[in-house]
This record gives sequence, C-alpha cells and structure tokens, in this order.
Amino acid sequence: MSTATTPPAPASPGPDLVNAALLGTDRRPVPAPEGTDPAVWLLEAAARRRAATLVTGATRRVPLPPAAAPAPDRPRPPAPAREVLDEILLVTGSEPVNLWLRAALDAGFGLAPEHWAALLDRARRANDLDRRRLGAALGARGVWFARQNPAWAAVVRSLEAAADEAAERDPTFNGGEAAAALQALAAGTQQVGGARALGRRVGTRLPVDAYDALARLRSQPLDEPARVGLAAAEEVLRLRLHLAATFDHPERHP
Amino acid sequence: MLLTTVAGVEVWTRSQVLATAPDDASRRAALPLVSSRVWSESGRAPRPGDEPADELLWGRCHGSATYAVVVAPGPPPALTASCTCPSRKSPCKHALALLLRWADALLPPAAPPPWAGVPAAPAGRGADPERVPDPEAAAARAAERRAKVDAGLDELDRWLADQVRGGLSAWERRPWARVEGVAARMVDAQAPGVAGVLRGLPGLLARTDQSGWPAQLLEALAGLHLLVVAHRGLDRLPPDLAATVRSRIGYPVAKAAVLAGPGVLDDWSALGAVDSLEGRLESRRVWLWGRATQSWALLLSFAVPGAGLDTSVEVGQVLHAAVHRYPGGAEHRVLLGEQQETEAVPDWPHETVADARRRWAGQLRADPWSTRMPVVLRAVPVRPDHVGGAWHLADPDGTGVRLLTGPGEPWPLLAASGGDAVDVFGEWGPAGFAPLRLLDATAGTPRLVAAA
Repeated sequence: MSTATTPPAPASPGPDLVNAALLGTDRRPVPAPEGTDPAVWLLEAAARRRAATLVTGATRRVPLPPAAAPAPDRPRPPAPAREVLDEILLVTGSEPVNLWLRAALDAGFGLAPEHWAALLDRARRANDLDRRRLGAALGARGVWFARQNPAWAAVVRSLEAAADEAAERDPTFNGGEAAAALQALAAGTQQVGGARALGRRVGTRLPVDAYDALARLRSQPLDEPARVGLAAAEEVLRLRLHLAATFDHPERHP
Repeated sequence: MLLTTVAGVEVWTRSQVLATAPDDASRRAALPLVSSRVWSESGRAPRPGDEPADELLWGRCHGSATYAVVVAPGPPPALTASCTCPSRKSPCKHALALLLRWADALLPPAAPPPWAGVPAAPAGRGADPERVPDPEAAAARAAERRAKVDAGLDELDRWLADQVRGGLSAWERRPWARVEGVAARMVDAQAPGVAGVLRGLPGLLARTDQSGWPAQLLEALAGLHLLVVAHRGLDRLPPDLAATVRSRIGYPVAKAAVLAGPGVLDDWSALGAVDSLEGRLESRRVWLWGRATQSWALLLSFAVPGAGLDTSVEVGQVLHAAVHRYPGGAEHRVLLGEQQETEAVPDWPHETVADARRRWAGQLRADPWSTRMPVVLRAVPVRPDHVGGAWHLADPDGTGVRLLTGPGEPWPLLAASGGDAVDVFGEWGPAGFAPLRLLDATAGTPRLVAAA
C-alpha cells in the first residue's frame, strides 16, 4: 500500500482513477491540491472524464464482413403461410415442418429470413428435418447466413450433402398405390402404435384427391388399429390441404 | 370503454383512476396507500340527489397523520374530492388511493358518516377563482422543498465521498444493503429520481463483467456528484438545464402545466415500445417520430401490476396530434393534446452510427445524465469476431456501436440484412444500442419486425 508513491500524471487519469477509487483514497493517494478533500477531488476528476466515456464508450472500429450475401432466389411466402410456420414451430416434431417446406417449394416460395435462425436451430437438434428441402427453401442467401454461425456448421454440411441427393424422399403415390396403402391401413393388421406411424407416412404420400376415399373408409365400422391409422393419415392430409390453401393466398408478398 | 359493474354501479378501472393523477409523484405515492391496513371507516353509498348510478366514497387514511377523504366520482375522468391533508394537488394521493380501493372492490356498502358530505364541485382544477393558487404560498412551498432537497443532497455528497474514500472494492459484498439506506433517505428528502439511480447501482455490478464494474460504478457515482453540484448552482443555470436537473432529481411536473405549454402538431409515427418494471410500477415507453417537425417524442405511461399498460397507441400507428413537451433541454417526454384520425403510413429518419454518436454527444451536453436516445440506425449488423464477443451495428467505414441484445443473439437481424445495411430502431445509451424494431420499407407498406 505504501509503495504507491508516484502520483498519476494528470494528463491520463483513466485507469489510475479507477484503481484509486477501488482501493479508496485513504489507502491510495491521489494528486489532490493542498486543502482539497482527496475523495471529492477524485469524484470531480471522474465526472470530467465521464463526459468523454459516455459519448464514445459504446462505439469502436469493427472489421466489416467481407462480402454481402447473394440475392434471394425465391420470394417471401405470403403472410398466412408465415403465420402457419410460426404455429408449427411452437410444437416439437419435424413432420409438420417438412410438410410446410414441401408446400412452400411446390408453390414456388422459400423461407422468410425471420425464420432462418429458428429452422437452423431446429435442424441442429432434429436429424429427421428434411435437409434437401430446407437447403432449397433457404436458397443461396439463407445458406450464406447459416455459414455465419459456427454452431450451424454441421447443419450446413448436411444441407450440402442432401442437395446432391437426386431422389425425392416422399414421392407421392399414384392412384393404385394410394388405394393399396389405404386398404392396408383399413385392414388394421398392426399394433396401434405401428398403425399410427404408418398412417402418418401414408398421409405424407397420398395425392390430395385421396381425401374422399380416406373419409369413406373412416365412415365404416373399424377396429382400433385401423381407426388410429386412418385418423393419422387424415390428420396429415388435412394439414397438407391447409398449407396448400395458405400458399395459394392471392396476397403475394415480395 | 369497458367498465366493471358492482351491483349496477359503474366502477372505474385502475387505469382510469391513475389517469386522473395530477403528476407521476402522486401516482407513485398513492399505490402504497391502497393497502387495507391504512384505512378505517371506509365505504361507499349511492349519492343523494344525483344519478342513481353515482356513488360517494369515503374513508380515513392513516399515514404520517390521519386524513378524512371523500370522493364523488362521475363518468371518468370527472370527479370531485375533498381531503383534510395539506396537499394542494387535486386529486391528492389519498383520494387516488381511495378510488383505487373502489376500483378493486375493496369498499363495502355502508351508511355515510356525518363528516362524509358530497365534496363541493368544482374542487380546484383552477375553475374556481377563489382557488387560484396563492403565489406567495406557492413560493414558500417551493422554497421549503428546495431546502429539503438541498439538505438531502449534501448528505448524499458526503456519502459519495465516503464510498471512494473507503474503496469501492467493498461493493462486491452485498451492494443492495449499501444503497438501501441512502436511497430511502433520498425519498424522504423528496429526491425520488436520485433514489431511483441509487437503487439501480447494484444491478450495474450484476450486469457488467468482472473487470468492468469498478469503472462503471465510479462513473455513476461521479454523475451523482455532478447532480449535487448542479443543484447547488440551480439558480445560475440556463432554464433548460435547470429544468433537466430538477427532473433528474425528481421534482414533480404537473400535467396541467405541461398541457398549458405550446402544442406541436404533426403526424407522429409510433416506431417502438418498451415495457419496464420499477419497483411496483410498470411503465411503457412509446417512441414517436414527427414527420414534419423531424423530431422525436416519448409517451410514458404507468400501470400498477394487474391494471394492464396503456395500449391506446400501438407500434406502427400514426397519430395526427398536438404534443406538449415536458421542460428540459434534451427531454423527449410529451403529453398528447388534441388528436385526429389519419390515414398516413408510418415513416422514419435514418442515421449513420457516426451521426448518431454526434447527436448523442449533443444530448449529453443538454442533459449530462441522459440514459437513452431514440435513433433509427442504417447500418450493417456485424457478428462478434470471437465466441462470446459483442455484436455491433457498423457504418461502411467500420465505425460500430455495440448491440445490447439480452440473452439471445440477434441472428434475425443478420438474416434480414444479408450483410447489407438495414434500418433498425432502438434506444442508444451509454452502454450501447438496444434494438427494438427492424424497419423495412421495401414491402410496399412499411413493415415493423421484431429485431431479436
């Protein structure tokens, strides 16, 4: 304590003022003139310096990012479709997200920038989120954005890998396949849990005009597995119809 | 407007009661008086001779002394009130507290005691020439308050010096215990603004990183010292700066006095709103930009928990209105005067980081205790160059301001920008820029998007 004998130069009082305040002027001498309370001198010196730090304290030179992103390659989806995605993101599970992406791309839309971060975070946690469609819906601009965050590096790699996959993940059934799949569900040969999973898978692949056939089957008396399987398929198909309607909204946002 | 009904009688809502407060100080003072413990002989009864739906409210309020209050509320905000307290404010905090108890259905129906006569209308509000405030009495009251504040601030200055004399390192342990006594003393000394700053100091230690807090704490204490010095020389300061010093210390400003000032008519775009909680009072700041006057204005509203904040002005709305400014050099706060419907769409200015910093320097010159300045920055979001570093908004030449974003990272801001400049509205302060809204004019009509 007694080693602090050199008074700080008044021209650069910065860190010395803080150190003196931290230790206390009783222990750390300050260059106050004779007859002045060192503590008051310190407060006044700090008040003078305060003006400068208040102005410039929050600003500094920062290195600018090297290049701006490529232009968007697909338009923003219409507002109702964006709202549906907000709702979908409130619940867990990748299936509705995958259906949303599929409906968006089918209608020629991409993802709105305000959804990029949420979907990339979701993809980081969920391997069953459709990488091929996510990459397409993000577009070159969205993938540029994903590269900015090291936490999304693995997702970016999986997007790039999936982009090369030629095969459609869930191709739509043709008429005969659809009828066969529905009959298999109506037969109810699985356990209840298996029937629900199969129903969901069938629902994603049914052509939308299969809805009437599905409704007819559901009106018959059914045993439990058949009822559950067909209900699951109908639920998925109904979401797909709803999504198609929201993307068909006349209001086209840029 | 929605009114609660108690047995066929229209009862005001808490917000309607608070809206009749003559100033912020009485609003704050009324809240602790709502408690049932401070009331006796209180009740309500139909008013004789008036509309059947009108009621008379009364009670005895036990504070530093016991006062008898009687209030006759009409359709809001009309009311007449009488109270035996010495306050010249109308309605006084006791009348407000009684109305709040009524709004909360805490007043039982009863027979009015003999002392609870219907208060004479119009009670004050300057309508009665007999009640025009006596200038001599007013001056005496002002001098009394001034002396009280002076004595309090002298004590504060001694406390400030003691802190740096003994060393700020002691603040690491239980900073709350350190400020509570002196803050309570400042409330007694009628300097509630100073008390608020003192109570905010422990939070400063919690918010800033380990190495940063001593410098920030010293800066804050020096700012308070500056306020003490400024108040000592109050009579020699230019009027605007003197008004700023008074407002920072917490001298009340009567709504009526603000509304009596000149109104500035303009199309005001509401660009952002921030809610915050101070003690028991919730407040909402709504920032307005005036198209023709090219100026900012701030609407401040208060609510007690459960009352719900004022939602009459929503972000994205445009008000064609006259605003009346509170006194003070860099004061943004206004009261809304006459208002008209308008079809106008919101618009906003934009500034570079360097220009905003210049304006912030100007605002600090006018009000050295400023904590926030509204600004729309047109700048590029720049992510941190290392993990855990700060985000910035930067000009093309690399002048950047630190983004204050709370717990999350502002990735949506970068997504919207794609590395180009975007318009972001927010509050600029000593620690950085707190983004509130992304403003997007490219979509035909302007779009307001949450920033982070």
